[in-house]
Amino acid sequence: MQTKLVWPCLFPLAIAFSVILSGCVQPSADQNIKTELLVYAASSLTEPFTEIEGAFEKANPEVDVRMVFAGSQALRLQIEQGAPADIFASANQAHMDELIRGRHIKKSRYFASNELALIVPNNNPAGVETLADLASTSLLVLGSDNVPVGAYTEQLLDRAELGLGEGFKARVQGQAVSFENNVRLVRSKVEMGEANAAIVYLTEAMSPKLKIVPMPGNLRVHIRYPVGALVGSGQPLWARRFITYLLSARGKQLLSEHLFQVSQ
Amino acid sequence: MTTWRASAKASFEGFSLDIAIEGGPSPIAIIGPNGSGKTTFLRFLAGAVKAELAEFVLGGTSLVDTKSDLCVPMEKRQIGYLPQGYSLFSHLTVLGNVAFGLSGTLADRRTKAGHMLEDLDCSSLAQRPIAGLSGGEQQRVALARALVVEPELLLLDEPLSALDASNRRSVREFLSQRLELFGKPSIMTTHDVRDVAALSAQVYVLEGGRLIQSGSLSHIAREPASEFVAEFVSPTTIL
Amino acid sequence: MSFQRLLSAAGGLLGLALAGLLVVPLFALAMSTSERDLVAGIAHPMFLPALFLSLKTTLISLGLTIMMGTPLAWWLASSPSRLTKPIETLIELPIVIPPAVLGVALLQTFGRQGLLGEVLWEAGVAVPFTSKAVIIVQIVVSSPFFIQAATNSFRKVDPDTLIVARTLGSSAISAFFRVVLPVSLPGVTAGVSLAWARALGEFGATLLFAGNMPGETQTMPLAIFYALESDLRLAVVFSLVLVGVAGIILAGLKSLPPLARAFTWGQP
Repeated sequence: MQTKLVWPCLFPLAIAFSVILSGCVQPSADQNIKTELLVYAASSLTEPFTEIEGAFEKANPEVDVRMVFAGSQALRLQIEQGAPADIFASANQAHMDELIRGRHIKKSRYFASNELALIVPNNNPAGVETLADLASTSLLVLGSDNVPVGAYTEQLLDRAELGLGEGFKARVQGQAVSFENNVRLVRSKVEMGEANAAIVYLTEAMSPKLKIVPMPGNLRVHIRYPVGALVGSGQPLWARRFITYLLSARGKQLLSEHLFQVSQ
Repeated sequence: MTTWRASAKASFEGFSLDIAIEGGPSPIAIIGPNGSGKTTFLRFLAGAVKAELAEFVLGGTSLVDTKSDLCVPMEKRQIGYLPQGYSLFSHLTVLGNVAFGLSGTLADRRTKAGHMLEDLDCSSLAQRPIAGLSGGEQQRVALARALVVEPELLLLDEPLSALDASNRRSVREFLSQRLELFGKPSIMTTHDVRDVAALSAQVYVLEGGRLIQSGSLSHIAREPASEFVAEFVSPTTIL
Repeated sequence: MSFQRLLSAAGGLLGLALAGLLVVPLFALAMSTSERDLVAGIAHPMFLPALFLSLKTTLISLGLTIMMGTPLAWWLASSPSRLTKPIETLIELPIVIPPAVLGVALLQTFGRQGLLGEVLWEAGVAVPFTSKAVIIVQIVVSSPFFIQAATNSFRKVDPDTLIVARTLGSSAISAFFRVVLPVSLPGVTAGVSLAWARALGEFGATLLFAGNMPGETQTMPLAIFYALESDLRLAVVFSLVLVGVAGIILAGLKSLPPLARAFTWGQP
């Protein structure tokens, strides 16, 4: 009978229609709608910004801050493709400049600084004592040069050549077994004991599974984090207020608790 | 003059087999209701099924003897097997099927298989693919495939049940002629009393995995040992 | 009967929508590049090593998958043992586990301090950060597809054909190659295609377990991800080449069963 076909056919169609319809349903007037603020931040800012999110929301209960953490380069790409971010906090100025050049952001301000750190697993299996040792350390992991931490590492190694001789950078890079796209991934490999050493942000280095190997002071690479509001943001007022909060005493306190350097 | 004897005691999930048969060069028929163990017994003889306690001697050669841990592998038994449904190799042509068990050069195998098909009056089928063959044609091909390797024993599992009624009579006649010509032992399982009549074979009745009666068709017709036998020989079976 | 027509029209529309969703993005990708970009991309120093590495590793992992997976699939399909069901389920697990998690699991196994890794390390065999790791990842993520397809194909083979083949003088192994394989070739080939495609596209677990090292572990997907972060156009070119290569090989695999049929295994 024809009816035998009808019911099995209706089932997938019903699912399809309900999916399509649910997209068309208008949200009923809800008194609990908060203003949403979307912040795109470099992944190295995960911990401090999560706390700042909580503090800001507490001080401003009518706002719901949503954080998106990823590599600065990935965030920049998404913003260029039209992601609806209100604020962008980058781990390096180059990405911010690109967005300013593309008229996505008008201007940016520095809100924090970071440093690089040389980390090894707790038990230091390769016995790394100084930066110079890296030229002969096996299983070295670095950030790839198209992500901020990798670019800063290159700067560091360039500077180091002044003291440790030409070719030092090439030797160190030759020791690398992997160039990771994400500073967290670099850190994980060291924590797991898979890598003998790595160069990451100082703010990433505080972990009971890691040991920091001190580097010469004159090699300090300045990593400055700029933040800017998106021109296309739907919440320019709140974006400005958030940035102000970031630069306020409270914001600075939260950042320095996570080892970022802030101007006093 | 090939004689053979086989006995097997085995238990499977929810079913047990306990049977002992012997025979000579003439065809014998095993009848029984569904699930009585006919196919299992044939598979045992072919070597696909193992029994706990068994003995199988074919023409003087011992093929199975559980007491001395003897179990000749299937490929060495030289037994032909026609399963229900014929199980032709769908990826080969008719000629390919028949030549499957032959060895030698390609030309040799081709010739021998061709002759076998001629023998069975179906050379025209040689290059045909298996799909599209009628039931009767499939049966001939399966028979050719089994006979061309000159087996010592031929096993046929309900060879006519896959055919429709109109074909059955002619194929039945053809099959009985062939089996007689074959001259070596053959065992056929069947549902149909007319198959047994055409073969004028000794009948063995299998029920619940056990032999409950044996004898000529007229004998079991006169004194059926069970309801199944009585119905089997009953002339009112319309098919 | 117009309700029937409505139903089939709706079904057709939905099917078309899905097909579109699968095809249009590829089209959009192709549209977003130019001839100049294509040339620049192919000439890029990252390109050839990544392509070569992808082809090399996937071929090796595919070979190993087929070699090890076929007997396993046959066992799963034909064994009466009660173990087949749980083992089949276990084998299908990697399909549902996120690749990143698989990467972590592999590190826990083969890493320096891993379950097996410790022993291997003592023996001088290092797995993470090497092509070996890439191959292992590919096998783990792709073989379940092959094994599933092969097992299902083998299951459909009429067991009587095997009995007949053996009574005709074939050993068990010979019967497998002469009867089981040819008959189940379409299904097995589909499994090979699926497995190979999955291995080619594998990214997450590779990144974690093998790392990103041009020439050693930077497969095409990793190269694409890397390129994405510096030059979108480069990433698009790499992606298109990957899609093109994959398309050619998959089409080739699809034409295998009919070819095999035409070639028919030396039958008279």
